[in-house]
Amino acid sequence: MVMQSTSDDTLPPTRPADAARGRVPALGARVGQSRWTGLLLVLALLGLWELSARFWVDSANWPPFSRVVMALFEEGTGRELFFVFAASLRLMLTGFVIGAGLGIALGVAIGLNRFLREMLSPMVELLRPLPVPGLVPPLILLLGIDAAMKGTVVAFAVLFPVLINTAQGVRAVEPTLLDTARTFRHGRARSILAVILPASLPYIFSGLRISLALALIVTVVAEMIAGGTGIGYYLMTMQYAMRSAEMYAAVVLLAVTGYALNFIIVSVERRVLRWYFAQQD
Amino acid sequence: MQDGCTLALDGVTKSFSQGRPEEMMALADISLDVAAGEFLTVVGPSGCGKSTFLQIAAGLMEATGGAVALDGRPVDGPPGGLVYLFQQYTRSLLPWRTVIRNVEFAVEGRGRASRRERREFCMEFLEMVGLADFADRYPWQLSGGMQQRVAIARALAAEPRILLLDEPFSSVDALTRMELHDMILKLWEDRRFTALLVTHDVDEAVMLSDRIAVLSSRPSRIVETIETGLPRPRDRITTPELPRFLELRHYLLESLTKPKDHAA
Amino acid sequence: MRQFAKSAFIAAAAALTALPAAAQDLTTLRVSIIPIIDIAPLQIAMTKGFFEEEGIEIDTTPTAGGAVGLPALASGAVDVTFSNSVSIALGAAQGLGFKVIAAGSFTGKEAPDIAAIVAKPDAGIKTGADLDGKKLAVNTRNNVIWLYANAWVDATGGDSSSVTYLEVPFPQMLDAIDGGQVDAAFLVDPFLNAGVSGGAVEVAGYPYNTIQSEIPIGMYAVTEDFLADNPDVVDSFVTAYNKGVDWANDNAGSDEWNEIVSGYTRLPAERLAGLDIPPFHKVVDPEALQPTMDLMLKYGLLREEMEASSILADSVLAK
Repeated sequence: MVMQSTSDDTLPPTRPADAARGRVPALGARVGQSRWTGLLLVLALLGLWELSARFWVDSANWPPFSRVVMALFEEGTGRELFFVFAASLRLMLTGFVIGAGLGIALGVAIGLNRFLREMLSPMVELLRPLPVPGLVPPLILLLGIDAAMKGTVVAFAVLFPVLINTAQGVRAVEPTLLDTARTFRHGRARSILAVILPASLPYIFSGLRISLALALIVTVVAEMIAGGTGIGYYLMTMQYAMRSAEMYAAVVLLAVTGYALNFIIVSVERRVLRWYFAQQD
Repeated sequence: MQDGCTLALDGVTKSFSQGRPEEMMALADISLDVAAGEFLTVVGPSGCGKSTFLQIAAGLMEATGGAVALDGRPVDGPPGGLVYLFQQYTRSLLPWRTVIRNVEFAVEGRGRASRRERREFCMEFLEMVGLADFADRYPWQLSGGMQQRVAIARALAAEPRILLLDEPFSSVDALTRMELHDMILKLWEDRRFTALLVTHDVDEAVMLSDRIAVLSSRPSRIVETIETGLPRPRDRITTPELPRFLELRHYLLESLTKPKDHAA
Repeated sequence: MRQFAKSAFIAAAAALTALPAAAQDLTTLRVSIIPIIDIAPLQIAMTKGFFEEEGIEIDTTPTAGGAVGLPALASGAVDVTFSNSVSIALGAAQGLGFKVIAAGSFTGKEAPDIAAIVAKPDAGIKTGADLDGKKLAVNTRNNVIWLYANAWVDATGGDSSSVTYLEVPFPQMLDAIDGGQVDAAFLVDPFLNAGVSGGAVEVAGYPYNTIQSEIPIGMYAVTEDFLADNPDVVDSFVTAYNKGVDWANDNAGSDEWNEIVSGYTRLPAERLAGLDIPPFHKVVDPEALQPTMDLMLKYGLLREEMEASSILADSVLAK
């Protein structure tokens, strides 16, 4: 393709999330084929789960998969889990939107301004690896133990992947695009909105994808620590009530939810970044 | 439409990494007057600082010394009425925007025209470059020549009084290049903006220009300026057959391949 | 808004039926709880309307234990926290001003108790001496379970400093023993009951019982400031809670009791029926609590002696 040689370096050099998500680069038949193989693998693992619980592993904490499925359809469980998941997803999405919004805004600021970058990057690097449980006690002192605290924890977890990716994307914006905006005498605000943000979207989406998976995990962990709602609380309660079938029912639903969330964001990404993927192929 | 404007460079110098051991003098004392409505081409060997020269003229880069003035007003940033056509259309078009939205990028934020008015206005320029049917495609769905035509339409939509062209025809094939030459000449003759082109392609320089300035290799200076004196309108078949064309071509190729003889 | 609507409704009802003044305006108390059997009297008092009778509305917030409940109490995020004697005393020693206002749960009078050190039936672990150099699972280090595990090992001929304590959550302790990751575990009901009745483990000893009969463990704490500012509210809370204690003791094992307890613990009724739950009390005797403080000093949780009475408010002492 004509433009390949000149456009290569406008693309993100690394897409860290791709490997983790197992994106299949090829198109057509091979994708379909590997998807079937993937499904078979999941079915095989579920079968192994069933067999291991029936014949090899004798523990109250390891019920056969069939019992987990039955628990899911028991009267009341499905309905309860619906509300449990609704509460968690609401918390997660609130934290995600706040964290991602802040991450993008700060990422743009840091990406554009060298002074800010040098001032803030040590702090970012110090805060970034903090584990959620370590974050909770000081946050309880500041924000109590309700949604404000848990939402903050989720937003905090979401913030850094988005911020770092955004800043990287902003710095990688093709200088010619910025010069083009300048020669048309577009101001700072229009340059950011019309050029820098769209051009950084491939990076921003990488951050968003990592963060979305993280947000779900952190939401569940936060709910395990405090509060009477959500998946995390349900998991804890069922574990302590020795109702492992219900617990795994929630775990299975959690896995499905995670898969669905990723599917959604990848679909949105494919749509929004059509121009980007089309250039790559 | 306003007439073309004048551009004056007076003793412009440019050093990179000034004051450090790796200091590199790119431009040495460049003075050049571009007349209103004139098509002036600066030719020079590869790596002679042609792009640096043009970016300083456009206010995109600061000169180390000297002054640039547009219609007598000093340039200290991209001035109004000036548009820059970049060499690499793939880097200057917005890949997430359709062709028409790329053209609209030139006029966004100007006046309070409605979306529809703006679109209609920009469609005229797409028609001029023959791309009206491709308005809703994306740049990456078009060939290289078509993409550069989008960039040209966008440049003209800004209604420039002076258009700076930074080797805009260098990354397309020979036939496409000729078509683009025809097109730019026609648009220039219709609209009478001032045109300042930099290129290393001698045929292109002779074919398009009223005047040609020859740039030496680094540190660059203007060796001489030549009136082409070729009749207009130019024709892609007959013009290159004129004795004057061949004479200019011969002379320029010689001077560009033996720059040291001239500098001495 | 709902709060307001409820208050408005009650006010209107009071005007019509001339209810006692106390019921007109409910004071909301935020209580941090752990959804275990130990808080049965509180849940009963809530369900039976004992708190409303005292003009209090209870808003419970479950937490994963004292690690969250007590910081929340110190920060004012909650008004009352259910926690254990060791965590409350640790907080008090750090100057957080915790005061126990009501009794919660006690260990049993005699063996078999609600908590025990268990091991595989063929492991030959019967005393602390058998645990020397072995691995023992506790749910959290430096808490009440860990403290009494140490005390039991030393009291039964072993050397607690030679034991390796591993943190394992209660639900995973039986698996940890089965998988050989630990040699023994300090297990509590309902996991203890499940493990012993299923034959997976045998009891080596009942650490609480070995040291002392009826040890106060769980209790309700507030901050000194809250107590000073809201003495009437605290009194009302304790009055209502104590009604719950009476009801819990009088109706233990009844269908309604089972329904309430399995409602908030989510324990299946049949599992609950198999448990032997010690009676609840209204009073914490400082002398019954003092040995715990002394053990904390002995095992390094406290730097200096602490009087048990210093963390007990009047409302939890014998009248």
